[in-house]
Amino acid sequence: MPEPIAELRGVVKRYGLLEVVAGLSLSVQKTECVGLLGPNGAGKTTTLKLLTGQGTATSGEVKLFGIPYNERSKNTRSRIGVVTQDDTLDEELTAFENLLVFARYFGIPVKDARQRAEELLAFVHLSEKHDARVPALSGGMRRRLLIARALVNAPDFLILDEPTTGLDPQARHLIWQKLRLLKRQGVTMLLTTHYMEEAEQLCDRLLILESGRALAQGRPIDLIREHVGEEVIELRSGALSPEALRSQLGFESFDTELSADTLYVFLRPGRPAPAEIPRIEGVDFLHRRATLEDVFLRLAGRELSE
Amino acid sequence: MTDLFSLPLVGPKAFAVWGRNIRVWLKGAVWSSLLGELLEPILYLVFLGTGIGAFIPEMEGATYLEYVAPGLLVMGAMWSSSFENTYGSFTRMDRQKTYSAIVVTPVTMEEVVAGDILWGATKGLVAGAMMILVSGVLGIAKFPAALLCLPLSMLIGLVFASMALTVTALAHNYEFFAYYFTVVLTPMFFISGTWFPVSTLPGPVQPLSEALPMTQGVTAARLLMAGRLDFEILPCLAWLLLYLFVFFTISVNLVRRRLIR
Repeated sequence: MPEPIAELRGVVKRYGLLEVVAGLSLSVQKTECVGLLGPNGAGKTTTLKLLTGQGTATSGEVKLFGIPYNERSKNTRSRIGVVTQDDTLDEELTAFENLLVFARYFGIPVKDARQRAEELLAFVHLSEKHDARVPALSGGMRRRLLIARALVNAPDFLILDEPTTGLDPQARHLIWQKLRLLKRQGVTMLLTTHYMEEAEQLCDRLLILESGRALAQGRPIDLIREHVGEEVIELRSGALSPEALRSQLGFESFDTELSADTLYVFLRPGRPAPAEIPRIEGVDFLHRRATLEDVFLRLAGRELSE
Repeated sequence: MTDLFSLPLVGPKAFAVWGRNIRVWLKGAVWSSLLGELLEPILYLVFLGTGIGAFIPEMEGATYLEYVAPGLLVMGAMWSSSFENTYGSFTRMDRQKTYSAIVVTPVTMEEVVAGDILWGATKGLVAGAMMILVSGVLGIAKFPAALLCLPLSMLIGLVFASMALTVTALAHNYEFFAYYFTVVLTPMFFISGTWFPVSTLPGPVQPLSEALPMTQGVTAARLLMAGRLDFEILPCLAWLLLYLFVFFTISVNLVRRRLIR
């Protein structure tokens, strides 16, 4: 196997007594898009910070492009692009100037930087906002500008921390479209998200994190098959608790899961067949495909884990 | 404790950070800030120098106006860089997270801090230049030696910018800066030999006053504005450079400790 673009081996990150990353290993291969999925506080952002020069691991190995990496690795950082979760655009400047200023940090000569900035504004559909100052941009535009800024050095590896959190569906789809385009151009990506749809749309491979550990990893479709099967039935009743419902149906031996108000029955090959499930008066019945959300909730727990 | 004094290695990328701040300034506050920097020395010199000066025939062989002008120059550089690297830097570091955005590029935290300090010092230089301009017009600065007050203003700016950034690295909100301004800078301003000679201070306060960077700056500025290029200025410069070195080192390490975790 060729040298991975990014590699973490047995990485631990502690803040005082708090262990945020607890022995995490992961690798990102060239042109791959890997997603870190997990509830808030699972260690996603902290993991990314170890790869962007904003943090150093307590122990374990962090490598980028095959070279051990730390906050002083300037040459390595000239090959990566980072889209932070915080909106860190220069508020006083225009969209175009934001890109120019950033290009200076990479030592890109002014003439090249101007051309690159024009191209990137066109790429993220912001050419019309060339001279607009940042406060005049919508949330989706700002996020697109952040992505353009992360691309100013034509990075081989793009790191994105929740690239579409808080955006409306149109804005989100436009960003996905752009990221898929970059992927086709050969850009390797690592992103965090808590949108399952985003993970399914963009990622070749996922790691589901909780408490700084990887609970599972694999291709989205494999994760679904392995952990929840192909289909799910949801049963919900006002009168019966999910547990009472399960015993009334005699489903204790099947692959089921209970939440506060719902019984989930995972349809593994042959057991049970949907037809075997009796329709009970007053019980809502929903038969649907299994999704990544089922995997995630199953592994990370259905209760609020904040 | 030891990491507080790790030697900072600063590369040329600091100028990219400095350039960013200048660009932002040119887009926004440039005219109001220049007006303030120009008006302040005029007001001080005209009203204090001539008003109080009317009652003071001379101080240490100079008119009172000539006596206070160098102190006011240092004061201007001190306030400008101190404000920039407290309120301004806190906004960039904490509120806008500009520092964090920059360190994901090939710019190091040392260079970010150095660039920000360089910018605060530049504002000190602007304040010093305005003072020289006004003093020149009023005929109380002896050229060409007085022109050396420009690099001196930059040096004083660097010292106070580094001190301010040290405070900023420890701050959790804007209110914190009020302590620094009222408890440190304002008293310093009164005992630094701007208004009256340090030798008239109570005995025990004199060595304290001499140790302050502002006093050293005022002594140096007074020599230069009087047109004197004298070896006497060297200890003042050495003292200022020492302050710069110590506080720059501490501020870099404190900011790194705060932001790279």
